Amino acid sequence: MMHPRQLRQQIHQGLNFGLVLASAFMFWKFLSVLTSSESPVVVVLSGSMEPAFQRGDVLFLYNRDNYVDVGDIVVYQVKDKSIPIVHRVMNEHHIEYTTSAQQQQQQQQQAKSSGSEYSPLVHTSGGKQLLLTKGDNNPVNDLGLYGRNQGYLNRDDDILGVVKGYVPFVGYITILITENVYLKYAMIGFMAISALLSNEE
Amino acid sequence: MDLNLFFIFESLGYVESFSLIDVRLALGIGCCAISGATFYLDKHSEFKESINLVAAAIVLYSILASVLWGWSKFVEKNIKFVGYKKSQKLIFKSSANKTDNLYSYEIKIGDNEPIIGSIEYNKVFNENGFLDFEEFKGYLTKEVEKIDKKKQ
Amino acid sequence: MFSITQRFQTLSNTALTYAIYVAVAVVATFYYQLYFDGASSVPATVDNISIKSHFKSSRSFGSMNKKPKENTKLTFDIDADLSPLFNWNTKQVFVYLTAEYPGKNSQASNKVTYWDKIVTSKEDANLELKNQRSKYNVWDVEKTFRGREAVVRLEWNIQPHIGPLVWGSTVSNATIVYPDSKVGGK
Repeated sequence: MMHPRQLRQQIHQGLNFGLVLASAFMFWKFLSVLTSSESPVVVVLSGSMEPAFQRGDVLFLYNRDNYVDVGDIVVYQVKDKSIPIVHRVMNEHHIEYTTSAQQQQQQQQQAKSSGSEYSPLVHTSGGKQLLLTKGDNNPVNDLGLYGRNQGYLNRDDDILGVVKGYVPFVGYITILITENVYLKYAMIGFMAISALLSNEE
Repeated sequence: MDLNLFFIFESLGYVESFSLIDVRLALGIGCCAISGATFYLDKHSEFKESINLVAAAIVLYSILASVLWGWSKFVEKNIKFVGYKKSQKLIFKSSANKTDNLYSYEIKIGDNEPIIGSIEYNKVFNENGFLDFEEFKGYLTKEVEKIDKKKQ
Repeated sequence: MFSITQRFQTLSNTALTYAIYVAVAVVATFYYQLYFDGASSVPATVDNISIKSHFKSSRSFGSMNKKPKENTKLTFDIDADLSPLFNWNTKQVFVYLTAEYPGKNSQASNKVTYWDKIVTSKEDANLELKNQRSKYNVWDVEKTFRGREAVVRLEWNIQPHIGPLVWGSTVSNATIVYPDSKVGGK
């Protein structure tokens, strides 16, 4: 059994490293919850939105808008297809489901008769929006990219977020790392060495 | 320098107590645990379903992390060693000031007045940059004895 | 004395703080510049709009079930000066012509794009188009356009060199009425 002070020393060092990872991860999750988007920051992988966005640009997404507008640039992922795509919305068709005044009265009467204090919501109880997208740099719209019988994207199901802002180039290093094998190993090697070296006090 | 405190004080009969450190470590482990649980949750469920739980986890984590930071900064401050000798408590605090090359410390035993002093680095480090253990030990032993004498 | 993780942490903390300062400065000056240049009311007129409508039955024209679907095209004139949108941070302006019309009931709405263009410099920002044909065949979620009335606008989107994307509409406002074609017509 290690000496109590040494044991704590080891835990302390491991904890330092762990806390760095933990706080980075929690910050990412915080952004994700804030923007209501699975992936609040993405890197552009293709050239279909040139000259607006190039490979390596970093995009900031926001997903709390109920309805997306024509002209907005969205990141979407078709069900069962793995790559998210960044394109612009060309057409949109939406419908708001509201309870009509008659239905509201019915609901209120029901509530009173059952003796509950519940008062139903007055207005919008949902909506649906269908979108058609196209990459600026593509000659045709994205119909060919959607599912077999899919004529539109569904705002709630397929959209990961709307692009609100961006920073150029910075993301290129992540593309290099994932695509360039040498760099990947170099990074891993670097992290391993620094983990070993950090045992000095 | 602080690493050697343990040996010095133990030789003077003080057994180290780790309660302050343990609380800090527990807080840190708690943070990592929340983070790990969130990661697990993230991997095993749909984004939309788990978003509320994740939000709660983030709040919990922030609270715990702030407590950890506060503990480290305000409660532990510069305390480097806490030891007990027959129910007498010794607290040793130290800080190093970059500008004036001094190792400042404060020793408090029991309810007695704390001794505040400082050692110049070059008095205890030899030419090659290594700590002269005996020299350092001698210094601190003298300080502790001063307090013991005062008691009597 | 300081481990690599600690150094990395301090470095990334300072880098992050500076990044935030720069970001705030960029966003503030960008918006202010646009406001100052009058981006909220870019002058433009769209008129002389004529509508052509055809029925098509293939998927690339919006027909999911091989049944005929009304496709419409427009011809129009545009006169617009987009130069207020160009400043130090403007990488390009995406300008597009939209038509907005109601759906089946008062809670449904639709908006479609007939034409768009990418303008990359202030010199090209003055648009004077006569008898411009729309770029796209446009179809609705329903089978036909049912003779509905649509508001036609020229809208814009600035892609900056860095920072937030900005959207807006020119002052143009035109109304068109779709022909009330029956399914099966030519």
